[in-house]
Amino acid sequence: MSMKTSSKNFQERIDVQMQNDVMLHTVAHAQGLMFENRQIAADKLGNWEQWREMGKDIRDHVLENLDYYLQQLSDNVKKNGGHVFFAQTAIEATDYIEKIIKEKKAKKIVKAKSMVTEEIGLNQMILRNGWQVVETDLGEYILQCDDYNAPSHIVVPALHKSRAQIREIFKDKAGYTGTDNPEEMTRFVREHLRHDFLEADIGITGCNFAVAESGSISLVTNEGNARLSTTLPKVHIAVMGMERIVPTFEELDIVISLLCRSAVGQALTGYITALTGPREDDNCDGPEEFHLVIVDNGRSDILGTKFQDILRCIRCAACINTCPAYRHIGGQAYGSIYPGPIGAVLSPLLGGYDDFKELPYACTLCKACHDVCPVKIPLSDLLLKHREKMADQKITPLAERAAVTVFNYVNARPILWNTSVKIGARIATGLIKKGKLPINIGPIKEWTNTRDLPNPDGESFRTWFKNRK
Amino acid sequence: MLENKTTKVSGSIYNRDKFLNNIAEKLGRNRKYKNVIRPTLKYSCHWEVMADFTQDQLKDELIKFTKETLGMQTLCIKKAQLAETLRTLCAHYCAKADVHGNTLFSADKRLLAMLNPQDLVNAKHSVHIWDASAGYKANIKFAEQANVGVVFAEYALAESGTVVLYNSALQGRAISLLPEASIFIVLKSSLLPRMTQATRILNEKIKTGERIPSCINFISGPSSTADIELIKVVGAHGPIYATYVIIDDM
Amino acid sequence: MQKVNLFVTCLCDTVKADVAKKTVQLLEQLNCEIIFPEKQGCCGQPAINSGYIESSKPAMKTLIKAFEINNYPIVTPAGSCAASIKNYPKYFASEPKWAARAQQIANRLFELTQFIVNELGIDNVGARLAGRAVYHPSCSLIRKLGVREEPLCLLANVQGLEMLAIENQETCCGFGGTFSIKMGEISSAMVKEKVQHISKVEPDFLICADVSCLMNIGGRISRENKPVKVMHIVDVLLSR
Repeated sequence: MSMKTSSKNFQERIDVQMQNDVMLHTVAHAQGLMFENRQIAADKLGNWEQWREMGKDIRDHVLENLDYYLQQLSDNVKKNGGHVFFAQTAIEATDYIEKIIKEKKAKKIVKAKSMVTEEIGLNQMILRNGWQVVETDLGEYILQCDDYNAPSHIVVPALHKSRAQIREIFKDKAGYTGTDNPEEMTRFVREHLRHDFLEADIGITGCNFAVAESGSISLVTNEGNARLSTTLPKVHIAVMGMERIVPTFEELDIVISLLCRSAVGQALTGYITALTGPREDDNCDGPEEFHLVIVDNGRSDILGTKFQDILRCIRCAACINTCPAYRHIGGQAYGSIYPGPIGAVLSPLLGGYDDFKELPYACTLCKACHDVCPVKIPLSDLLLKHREKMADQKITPLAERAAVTVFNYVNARPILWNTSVKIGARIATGLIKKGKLPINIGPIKEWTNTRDLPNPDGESFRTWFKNRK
Repeated sequence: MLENKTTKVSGSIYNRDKFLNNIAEKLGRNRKYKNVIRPTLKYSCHWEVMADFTQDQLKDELIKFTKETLGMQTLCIKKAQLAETLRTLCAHYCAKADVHGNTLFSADKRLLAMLNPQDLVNAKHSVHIWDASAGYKANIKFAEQANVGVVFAEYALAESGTVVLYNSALQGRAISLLPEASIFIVLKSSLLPRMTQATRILNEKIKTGERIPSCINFISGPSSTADIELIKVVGAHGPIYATYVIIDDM
Repeated sequence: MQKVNLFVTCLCDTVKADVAKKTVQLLEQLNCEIIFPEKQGCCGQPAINSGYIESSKPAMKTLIKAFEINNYPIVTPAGSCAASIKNYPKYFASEPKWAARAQQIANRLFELTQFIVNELGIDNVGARLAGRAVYHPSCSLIRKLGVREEPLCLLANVQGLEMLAIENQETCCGFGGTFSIKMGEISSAMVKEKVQHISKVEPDFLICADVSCLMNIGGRISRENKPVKVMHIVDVLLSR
């Protein structure tokens, strides 16, 4: 999977998703729960606005000095005996990892959940070579078993599946014979994957945040799969988006505190693991070899632009968990591994307007996402900037551009506007009867399919006001 | 002797300059090689959490949090009670093993100074102590077979019910990972309010040029997942059960 | 007597003139004298929110000029239009003089309930309305203008009115201007859920301070033939 998850166009995806009642029910329920948990965790911590501001400041400082901190990070990883590969593109990253796998003659690879490895299409490369890769995060494992069904959420990738569906997947693909009880299924996967961890030659993880000053990477998980992936195999490869870095452990404290609460409503997740280089010589478990692959893949093109704020993102999904549009279409409708508000901003930036031009419009600009973002990314402002950019580049439909031109022409001329309003009020009053137009066509069809139109109040206000004097 | 002879080569860096030059260019300036000052954080709310708590108050918070939020137990005992406490806990966690239970101990000196693990051996219970010199295979095999892993934690964080583990030759990563149950021993004098204090300690080590342990874990309870319909299931890939034992050393 | 400019908004000017008329009545009752600057047009949201910011600038300038005829406060019965105008200064980043003029207008501009409570200092307008009501806090009021307490405070002082809480109270109703056309299906799904949540508590009234949300939610309530009367907050505040 690369960033794009579907060959269907946006309308087709919406149509499919909006008829998926199981998914819609599961997502609505989960969203409510996650929203609530986040709020409780933030309230419990207290001073949440101060925390957010610190989060924002830390991320902004890092972005402004990104070259410096990446240099410091890579120097320190090297000093600790690790290898750092800077990959400008997805291909450069996967080529490097392919080379390591070949050198190590590895046959089996275990992976802990990582969005950036999805983004660069790492699994495709591994499968193309005939090697075995096992996704070990439960959610990712479910999707892998389901023939690499696309993730619908960046924290809970199989959010769109019901337990009954998951049972069927495990039954068909993994020989599971139990019930659809989540605990029973989780235990099954635990037993099932344990030998994969023990046999794996290489463990691949993402990186929630790297710490420049010590050359460490941190992993935030609950299941323990990232720990297993970095304890048993001889080689550990961590892949990180180039902006996922903090200066020192002091800042790590702040961003991790924000991340855990915003993502899952926990004070800290079950495991926060800080890994610094390969294992020490006198240790006997942990990787002998550590590689850090730092991925650009379009991120640097966002630096220095009006979209730079999006690179503050710490991938907590709070925006997704609060977005009313996401709630009604689910993650797969976005056609990108990054759904919801963050995805609607990021996907067109990393993947271009050809595939993702509709996403910035799948938003009412309600700003609910602003209020919850732990690093204060003005998501709906950025969506509006996408719309502006597409309008400027004339990617928008011709009819729309024509309509806007007429509207803006009239609206800029008071005399013309005055007349239009008066006539408009009369036409509306003449046409709309009991909330219905005589014909139901064109762009307002979907509106009138589900809603009545307002019953007009007769003459325009300005006519009334003038006559009143 | 290590069976997997470490083939540790020195580290390396590839493609850095081109990559970083591009970033500097996109930011509209020259490369920054030095003199970047890390701004002081605007607020100190992270230091204010439980700031004036005594060790006993921190202990009470930790016990409450682990019980109510993590659904696990934290005991507070005198050093002299450790052997007896562990005997009971190990018996409890090994009860599932039909014939014979196994416990894997960390060889951390601070832990071994408090008890002799061999005292816990009986007809139904074996004990192994982590021994890096026996190599990867032998230790991992013990860890795989063990029902319980006992480790020594550097710190515990009251706010989040977290124990902080440093790996070392004496205390491998697998001890608190592969066995179904984990027992974490921590001193009452090592209780901290939150991650802020624990990361400050790391920061200070790093500043002096000390290399921090290759694997530091902040562990909050047993492993868990909520990937199926967001229903929390305790016990995913890591341990299914966990107990914290606070030693009242004050 | 406080002199006040009315920014009527295009929806109130054309189809929902009653809301604007009642706004005038209410403000007059509260001892204001209403001025209607005739050269005002639309705040430009349909074009601006679709990204046509550059081509909307002449209309923005027209609107700014229209309100520069005096220095009195500007009041509008629509949160989203107020929020839209308050964004003008940042669109004029490259024209500092216009940015300053836009800022002047933004500073004088108030949403109706905000004006009554914070500027006039009135939190009880002496209204009476018997029944149970749901108030929909529009995104524009709570998240763009930061007007959360003002309408609630006015409604709390309406005699006989009982306010009901609903599930996901602060969630968007799905209007979103051109969103309701461009993303019609999503908009429909959102408004359906909103009406579901409203209907669950069986209110007599649905109240909102934004005409556009009322049009959207009201349109769905009417389609479902629910016995819920849809009222702009000004309707409620004038009830006796």
